[in-house]
Amino acid sequence: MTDAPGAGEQGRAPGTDQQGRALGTEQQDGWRRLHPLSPLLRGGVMVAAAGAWLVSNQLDTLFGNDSELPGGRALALVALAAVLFLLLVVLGSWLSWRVSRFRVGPTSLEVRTGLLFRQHRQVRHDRVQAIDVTRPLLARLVGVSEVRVRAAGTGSDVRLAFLADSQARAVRDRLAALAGRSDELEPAAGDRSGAPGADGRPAATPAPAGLRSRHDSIVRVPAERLVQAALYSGQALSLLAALVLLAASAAVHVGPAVPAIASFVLAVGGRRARQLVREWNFDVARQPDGIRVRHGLTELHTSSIPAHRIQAVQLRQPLLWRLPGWWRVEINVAGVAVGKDGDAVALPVGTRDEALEIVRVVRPATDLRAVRAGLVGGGTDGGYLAAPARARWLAPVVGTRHGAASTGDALLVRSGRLCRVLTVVPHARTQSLTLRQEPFERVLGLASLRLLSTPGPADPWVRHLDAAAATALLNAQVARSSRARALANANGPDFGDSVALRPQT
Amino acid sequence: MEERQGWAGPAVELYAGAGVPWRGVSRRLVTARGLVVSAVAVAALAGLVLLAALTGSGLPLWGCGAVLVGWLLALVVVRRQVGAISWAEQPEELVIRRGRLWRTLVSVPYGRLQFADMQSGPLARRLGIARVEVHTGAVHTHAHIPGLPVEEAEALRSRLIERGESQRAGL
Repeated sequence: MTDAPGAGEQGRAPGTDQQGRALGTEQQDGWRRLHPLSPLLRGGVMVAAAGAWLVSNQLDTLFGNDSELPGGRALALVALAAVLFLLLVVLGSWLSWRVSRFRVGPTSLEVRTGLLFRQHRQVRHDRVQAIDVTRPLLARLVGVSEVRVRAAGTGSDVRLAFLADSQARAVRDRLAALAGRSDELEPAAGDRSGAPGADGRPAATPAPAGLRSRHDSIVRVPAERLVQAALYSGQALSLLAALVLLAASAAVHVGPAVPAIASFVLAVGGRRARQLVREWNFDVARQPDGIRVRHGLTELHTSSIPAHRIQAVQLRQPLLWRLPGWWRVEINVAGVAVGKDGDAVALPVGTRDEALEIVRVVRPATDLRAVRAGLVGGGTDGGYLAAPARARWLAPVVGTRHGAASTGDALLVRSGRLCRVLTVVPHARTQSLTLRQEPFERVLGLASLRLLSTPGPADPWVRHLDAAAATALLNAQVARSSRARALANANGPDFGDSVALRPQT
Repeated sequence: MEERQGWAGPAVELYAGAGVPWRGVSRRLVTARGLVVSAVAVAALAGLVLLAALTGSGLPLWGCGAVLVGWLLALVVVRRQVGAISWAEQPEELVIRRGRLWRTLVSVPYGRLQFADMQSGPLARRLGIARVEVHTGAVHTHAHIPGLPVEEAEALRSRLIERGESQRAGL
């Protein structure tokens, strides 16, 4: 069913391609090319990699290690081969640039790529999960950016690398406006049924116009706080311990220990440093229908996330962050890679009020008092359903802090005593639920409920509830999420995911 | 059909809502899983006997004893596990229970269903059973019902897809 429109496109594709080539225009039926420098930039990355490889080899030779490179004439040959290879790479990327085009259509973003293996990919606007604009160092020097559109499936991202900065911003704003049509009926904005304006935004409601000012920054993280937060972590402490150990073992001449500890220091310290570089200049701004997160020291990264695409919000406070009272906010968004740390961060470190402000922006209908109550404390404070006292047999530390509370539109899951965690899961975004009872839980009459979310930092478990209460919570949650979804459906159902077609040549 | 009714086993207390029409899975799943376990056990026994014959030492024979005990235990566990699997189609959700020591109950709202597929390997095909797996936006949903008679699995799958379409709500 979803293939049908794509197949039509495919039939039309060669004709449009030829026209575009014959006229040599940048624009044909709204089809646009990427920035002409893109092939060079992509090749440039290869040049840098090759250079780094050569340099590292030379360094090895300097340090007396066996080099993989032979010297003299052989070196010249290798260099020649490398240059030829690079030329081929640049040529290849130039050709692929020639045939790549994209278009922001009325219902979807369409991208055509591939010389031999043609690919026509469409992502429907209502399926866009998040839009990122990335500017690597090299691209920043030239003034171009990469736009990446995240769809829910793995490998269904669309990358537009590269576009001129202004064009990238325009494409981003347009896609965000088209994608930002919330499917969740919120009490405040009940009359969403109003016909969307020409640019896809609801024309009737005046609120979005007021929020249009794009630099409506909510939180800006100062650099010194980032550094301090990095120091207040277990990793930093272990690093410190390792450094002391390193100095000690060097002093008493325990030779073999030195490289082991040094490599540990390098690995952990490197990770921390990379994280710092990523999270530098962190800035969270409000957008018409969500948030925009911008960060990065060398590589500038901007991500626009429609609020209704956020599957879960997690507030976390590691033990040492209690001293300054800081929190970290992370989010689950479908299709946003989990492995690359930092992609799912909405606030690397902020005060409690800043963290709550972010929750307020992305979940305007959620009761903030309940969230605040869940950040600290345990038991039934703030109307939470908590694990009974006998759960201490299984969770001696967390004990009755395990708990959950339901507000009008989301379930708040409380956990973690030393490293406090509170997760907000919107009812409309509950994917499925699992009730689990381990042997010891059965003996104590307890059960745990897990709310399954899309892959991401948050994995909310309400652990060790009374078995009957857990069952009741499961039933209530099914009813709530189905009601929330029914509202969403009444508000306009959406079908189909991104479609990728790969016709053979 | 009757065989499954009888095989549903004692009620798992979790989610013991009144009037939930729990259904068990086919007893042939015991045969399928038992055969797999037995194949492994027989291979291990053959290897050990061969080893004993070649080396002339008595030690591998002790191993044979251990394998035999393990085999019997595994067969018992398979029977009990299969008896503990049950599922129910509720108005809003598909519910699957499994496990006896580690009990799990999975609830998948129909509107969250991304796709449902049906699979059966060579052994399962011969026995006429299939496995229905339900996928949602979450990777860890693990909602599958093994050991359904093929025609029932087919019917369930199409019913699920139908309901998923009518209650669909994006991600």
